[in-house]
Amino acid sequence: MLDNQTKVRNKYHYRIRNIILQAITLFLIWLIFSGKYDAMHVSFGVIAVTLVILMNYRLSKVNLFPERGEPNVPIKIYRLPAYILWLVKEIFLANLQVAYLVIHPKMPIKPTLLTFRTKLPSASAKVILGNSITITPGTLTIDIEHNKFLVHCLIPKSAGSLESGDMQSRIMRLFQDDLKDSVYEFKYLKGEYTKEENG
Amino acid sequence: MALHDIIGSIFLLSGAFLVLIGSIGVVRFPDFFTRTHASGKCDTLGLALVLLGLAIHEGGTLNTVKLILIAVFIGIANPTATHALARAAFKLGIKPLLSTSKEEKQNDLAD
Repeated sequence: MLDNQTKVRNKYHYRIRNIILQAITLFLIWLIFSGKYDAMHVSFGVIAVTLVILMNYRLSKVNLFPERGEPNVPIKIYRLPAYILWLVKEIFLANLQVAYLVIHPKMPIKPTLLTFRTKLPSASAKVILGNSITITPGTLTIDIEHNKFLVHCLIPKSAGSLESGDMQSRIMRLFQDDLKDSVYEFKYLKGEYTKEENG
Repeated sequence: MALHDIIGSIFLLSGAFLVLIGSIGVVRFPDFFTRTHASGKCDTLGLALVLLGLAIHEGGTLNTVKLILIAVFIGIANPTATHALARAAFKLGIKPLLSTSKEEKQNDLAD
């Protein structure tokens, strides 16, 4: 077990590192969008970045999900590019499929609801999964409750990478090496969706 | 005509085509959720392609970087907005229209 002092120091270092990273990113974005590099415009940028960081620092102390007590597992940034490439490929293929469905004269859609549970380590991991599902054409995250996802899809085929757990385990890999329980209790809902099934 | 003009035009045209398909989908699809699919998804890739096409047209200037940053922003903001819309509709009690084709019903009865 970590003793308390190291824990506090680690947290402090983590925070300082985050603030520096944030300042560099924000300032780079300012420089790109401003496009003017004389002293006046750059100093405006410094002031703006300082203000944003002050506001964000106060926000970072607010726990957005207090009742769940979810740990803050840091993302492994070096694994992100491979995931984004895979996601772009998926988006492209799925978009062609949806375009085909739209212009097909008979419009062979089979709207389906499905639910699954997944053991992702943190709230931000769930946000990444929810957004990835929604950005892939043909699937749409309707609701996330604890670790249960409710997804609407145009045809069941477009949920293929969700059913096999491919997308979930790829997102888990961004945070940890252990891929246990990446997807379980996967099922298609039949007929009317009722509130009881959501419980 | 330079090569990057041709490639940029191909990106622009395919992006515009996807946005058109998305709009057709909004008209053709039967209910709220399927329409959200059409408007939210095709637009994400369509707009990204249009912006990338413009970036290629622009060549290697600062505007290229700006356009790519805008494309990244849309890639994050658009699914978030789509999810917010769908969730709000679902919480308000709009029932998704589910598949009711004949063979599906027979499968349901067989289960």
